[in-house]
Amino acid sequence: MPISKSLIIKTAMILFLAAYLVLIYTSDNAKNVPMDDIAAQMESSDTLTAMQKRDKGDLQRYYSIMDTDTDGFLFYKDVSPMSVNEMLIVKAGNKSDAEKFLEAAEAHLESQENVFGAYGTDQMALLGDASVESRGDYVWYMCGPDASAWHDAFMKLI
Amino acid sequence: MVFSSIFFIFCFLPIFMLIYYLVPGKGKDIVLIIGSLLFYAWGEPKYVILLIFSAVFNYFMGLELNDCPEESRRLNMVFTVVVNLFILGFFKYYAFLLDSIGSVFRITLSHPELSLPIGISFYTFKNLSYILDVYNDKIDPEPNFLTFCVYSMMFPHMAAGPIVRYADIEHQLVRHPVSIPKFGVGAEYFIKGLAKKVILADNLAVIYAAISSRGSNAVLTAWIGIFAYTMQIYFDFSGYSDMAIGLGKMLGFDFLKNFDYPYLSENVAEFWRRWHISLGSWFRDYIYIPLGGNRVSVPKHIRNILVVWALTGLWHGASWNFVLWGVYYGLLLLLEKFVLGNVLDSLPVFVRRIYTMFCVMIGWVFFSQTSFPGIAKYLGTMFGPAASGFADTATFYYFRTGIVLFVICIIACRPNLQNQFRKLMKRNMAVAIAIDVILLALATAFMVYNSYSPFLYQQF
Repeated sequence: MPISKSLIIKTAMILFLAAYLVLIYTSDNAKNVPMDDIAAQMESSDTLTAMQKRDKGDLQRYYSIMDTDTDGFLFYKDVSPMSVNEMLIVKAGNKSDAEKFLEAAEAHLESQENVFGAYGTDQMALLGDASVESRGDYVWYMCGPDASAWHDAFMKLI
Repeated sequence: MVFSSIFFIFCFLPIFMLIYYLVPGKGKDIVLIIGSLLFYAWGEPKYVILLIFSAVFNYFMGLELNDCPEESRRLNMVFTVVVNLFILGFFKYYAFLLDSIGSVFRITLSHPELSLPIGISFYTFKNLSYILDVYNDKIDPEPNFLTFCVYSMMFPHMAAGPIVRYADIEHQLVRHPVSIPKFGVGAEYFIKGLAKKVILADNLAVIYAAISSRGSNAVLTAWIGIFAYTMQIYFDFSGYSDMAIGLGKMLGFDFLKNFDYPYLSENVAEFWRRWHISLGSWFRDYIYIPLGGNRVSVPKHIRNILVVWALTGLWHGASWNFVLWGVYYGLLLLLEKFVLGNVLDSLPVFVRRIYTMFCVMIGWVFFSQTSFPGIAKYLGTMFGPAASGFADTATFYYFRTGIVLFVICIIACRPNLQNQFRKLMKRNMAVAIAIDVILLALATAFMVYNSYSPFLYQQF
């Protein structure tokens, strides 16, 4: 029996769907690594610890995120108010919270761009290269000359 | 992108509308599709592929159902329904299923938590209604791919409904002329919906969030909290529906209403004929009636009602509290149908309305509290056992700070305000427009001041 055109189209659509779902499934996946382990590994970088480690008060101040809503966070920010260097990694309890944290991080980036947009050429260049993303339950904001190294180190962990 | 954002209202919408109105004829459809894809891609570009796939797949299968031999029609219909439900299940119910199996067998089934594509429940149900209507010969399949894409992907009702059926807008899809008066009516709907969302719902949300996050509450505080949530969810969702209907009118479409003053209902059955009308009618036409509806034996009728309401609950979210919420309504409807029917009819209208609001407010506890301990604790507080007292200083604080908002909400829940406004529009258009401008300015001020606040139903 010859294979009909419609069967070929249906098979192609299902194969496409399967490939797409596999891609989504794997790209959004992250290992479940405790924040303490992540902090221990990330803090082995001198470029990170050269900044000031921030607490839950600063997390709320800069990102409007309550630490009690998270499963842990690691937050470093430069002392100088003229610097845009900072790194935040937040672990959310579920995907819904992760989405909220990502929106908060995106809002922080937008706010920084508004602050430095008028005069901070160097800062704007760094903000333009900032990494604000999420994978699995993790959300991160990384900005600074060493942001890509922090990003690579973190990707290896999750 | 959400409707209630500065970017959407003052950037995306004006530019999109300008292009839409300037482009002639069928070119409007292309503008609408591109605009819808941009709107959708703004938040999560990776799921645009899924939206496009859903449109392509259902368009093709609609034609296939029409062209295939009679003996393979049923197979093709089942195949299409299974693929649509598989996609929905993959994103929405997969983790829930694994967690549920894990908790039954006390094992941990690890899985990544995928983010839910915005509006997936709405566009899946919309496309399913199209396929089932084609299969049942209620409609002819849409031959034009662009026209089908307009139906399947149009941004006004993409994210949170209403679940518009192809049969209801079939002729409008072919021809949807725009006009300045219709644009004006649409803008009025949109502003009214925006005001409901950002002036009322978002401020009510603050009250409920504050009360429900407290360690313990007095009885009256818990009732104030659930009253705030009851109003919040109505103004949030009906606000979105108004905005969707308004945007539809601006684009030349007329969508059916999704709410009909549900809090004036005199029984629970009536409430569900007035609340989220497009979802209720979807389950009625595609699940309840095919199961036999009420034209079966009493045990099967009871089964049909419980199945439909458990599924209605599950549609809202992959969590047991939503199933419980659905079953709660199924049981209430059974109670009204088989036990309370005549008793309720003999009561004064205001007593019937209080009864309905009581049932609905209890229902929102199941809906808003996502865990069983949370539900038990909140209900326990409302009825005394878990309360810290009958009333305390917090009760008076929330009552004092919320009373003006509550009174406005109670007035806005009734049709009188809208009727008066319509009369005013006929008598003095300039004053009516001035009121709309003030509402828009107020809503804008709230949007600037408040943080990002998506619609509650957008998460479904």
